[in-house]
Amino acid sequence: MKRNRESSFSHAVKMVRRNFKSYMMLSVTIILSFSLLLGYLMFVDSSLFNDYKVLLSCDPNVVLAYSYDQNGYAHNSLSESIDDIDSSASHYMYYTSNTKLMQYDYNISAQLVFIPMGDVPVYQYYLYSTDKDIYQVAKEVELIKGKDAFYLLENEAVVNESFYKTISPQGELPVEIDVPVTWSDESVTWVRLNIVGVCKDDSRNNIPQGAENTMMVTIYLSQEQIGDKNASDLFSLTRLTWAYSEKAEEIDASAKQLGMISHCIKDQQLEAMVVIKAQKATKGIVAIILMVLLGINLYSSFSNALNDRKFEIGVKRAIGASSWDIIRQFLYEGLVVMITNIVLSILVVTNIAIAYKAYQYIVEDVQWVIDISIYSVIIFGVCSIFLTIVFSLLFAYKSTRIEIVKYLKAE
Amino acid sequence: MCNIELKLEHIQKSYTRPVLTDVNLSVFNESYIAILGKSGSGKSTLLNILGLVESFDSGEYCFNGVKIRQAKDYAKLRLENIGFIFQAYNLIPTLSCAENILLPTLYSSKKQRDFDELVELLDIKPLLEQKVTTLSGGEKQRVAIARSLILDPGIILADEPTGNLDPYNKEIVFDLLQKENKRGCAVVLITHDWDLGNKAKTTFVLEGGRLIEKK
Ligand SMILES: Nc1ncnc2c1ncn2[C@@H]1O[C@H](COP(=O)(O)OP(=O)(O)OP(=O)(O)O)[C@@H](O)[C@H]1O
Ligand SMILES: [Mg+2]
Repeated sequence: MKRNRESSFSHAVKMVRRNFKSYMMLSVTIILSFSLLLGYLMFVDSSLFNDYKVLLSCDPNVVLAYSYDQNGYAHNSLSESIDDIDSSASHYMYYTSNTKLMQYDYNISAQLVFIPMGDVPVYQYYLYSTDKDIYQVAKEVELIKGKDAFYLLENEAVVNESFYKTISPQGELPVEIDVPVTWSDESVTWVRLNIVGVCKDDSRNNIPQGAENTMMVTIYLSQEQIGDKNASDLFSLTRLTWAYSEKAEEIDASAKQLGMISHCIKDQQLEAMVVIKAQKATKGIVAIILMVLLGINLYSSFSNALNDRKFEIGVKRAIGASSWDIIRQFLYEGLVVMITNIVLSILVVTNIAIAYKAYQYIVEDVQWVIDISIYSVIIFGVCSIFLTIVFSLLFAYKSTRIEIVKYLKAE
Repeated sequence: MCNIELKLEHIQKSYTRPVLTDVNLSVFNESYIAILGKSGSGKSTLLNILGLVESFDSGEYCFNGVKIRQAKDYAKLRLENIGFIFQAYNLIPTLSCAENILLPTLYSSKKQRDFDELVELLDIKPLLEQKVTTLSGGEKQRVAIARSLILDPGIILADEPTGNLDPYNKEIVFDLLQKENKRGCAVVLITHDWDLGNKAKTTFVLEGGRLIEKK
């Protein structure tokens, strides 16, 4: 029978397994604490990320400015100053106007959005709120059926999804509808439109509470529909300038100077970043507190684990193990225990996160994107490495404080 | 088998009261020394000093030419020169018999004795993979002896190795010690058993902190 000499590392791993019982409590402590820390970091990161994901996913270079002035002087001036600020900026103006569609059973308020001819991106405000703040974001209108760009011919239109479902239950395209364009003198021009595209509903298409027989409709149509009349003759006219430029803030400022209501995504994103940064400090403090608590816990847990092993250490020393041999064994054991449990705690937290997502999916119909920032990863990594090294060393050091004879004389 | 030359001169050791007052002893490869004495007279203390696991207060101890100083650890000397046998066996309960026997080899690259031969000698082959907690006293002591011999020490220090054993096992242990001594391994044996004591080449009684040779 040939017996190979055991390596000191595999001996340490073996001793961890053989002393499973005395490492139990210690392992529970480590897994709980690290799960708590990682869970906290992941929860904060994910909730921040999910709070701000709409805002942060917006293109920062978009500015949307609107005004109710009938003749559009402000928009003309803005157009000039945009060209002054950034000659490479693209910008368009479109109008919106309200009307009522009476031929349906519902009381339908429709917003007509007149967009310029050509392949023009169409932007829209969303109001969206986090726990504390309400943000305006501008998102490109998302086409989901039919045309894949807002290139509308004279008699073509795009409508929102829920309205489309009522006019075309079969779901075919194009569908013809007659739409009244109301003028400021309350006269009406009926135009026949081919619905060639369907876009996602936005917040304005939601039906207000207590108005279930009401439907909010958005119809995008070409500016050609205004025909020979002036845009300023449209009923309840709003002008909207959309600009795309690297110098979004300057354009925003100049629009505000012209008395317009303007939204600059970049500014709001910077504001959100401030909130996220403030959370970093909190995370750091929580991590330190958890680490201190865990440290105290680990200290006593490791001491207990070591108490169970005094006899073993005494015997090993007596038969000739040097204190370095013992240090090395307990250093390895500490490392193995710490690393195993930290890995386990990562698994625990990931599983809980997945379970939470499943719960949200079933019960709340929204799903969080689970996110963890680099900063949190660094915090967790530093805590793990720091505690692992400190306690493995301490464990190893304490293992040499054991008097050899004391545990041998006793029977 | 390594050379052994131990010399204790005027060794003193006290805890709350003096235990060893003036111990003088020389040990060589061919020595077979039995130490007898009343309980509490300091026999174990002396053996632990000899075995470099306990320090002494004053006197001189020379281990193979190395002058032993207090508060210094001589793990390597212990590992490669000394085989310890205890009355309480001191096997590690979380290790199997074979693992206990091979434990010293974990710490030393010194050539070990042939494992199978040792197992044969001590008649413990069926026990090797058994948990030590389930062994009988005699079996435990044989495993412990195998552990003490695995690195082929120059001296065996046995503290009441037969204290818990029946006459049959006592005989086995005694035979073994004798065999090892014949091979050139020094034996220092503590015992309460006068029979066993008298079979040694030299017999001492520890009394009043001194060793007195019995003729
Ligand atoms: N660590 C210690 N601290 C204080 N006193 C101790 C210590 N170790 C031993 N003693 C005392 O030293 C004396 C000698 O102890 P020792 O164990 O050497 O006796 P012994 O001769 O081996 O006895 P026995 O035959 O019962 O094993 C005893 O009185 C004991 O109480
Ligand atoms: Mg004793």
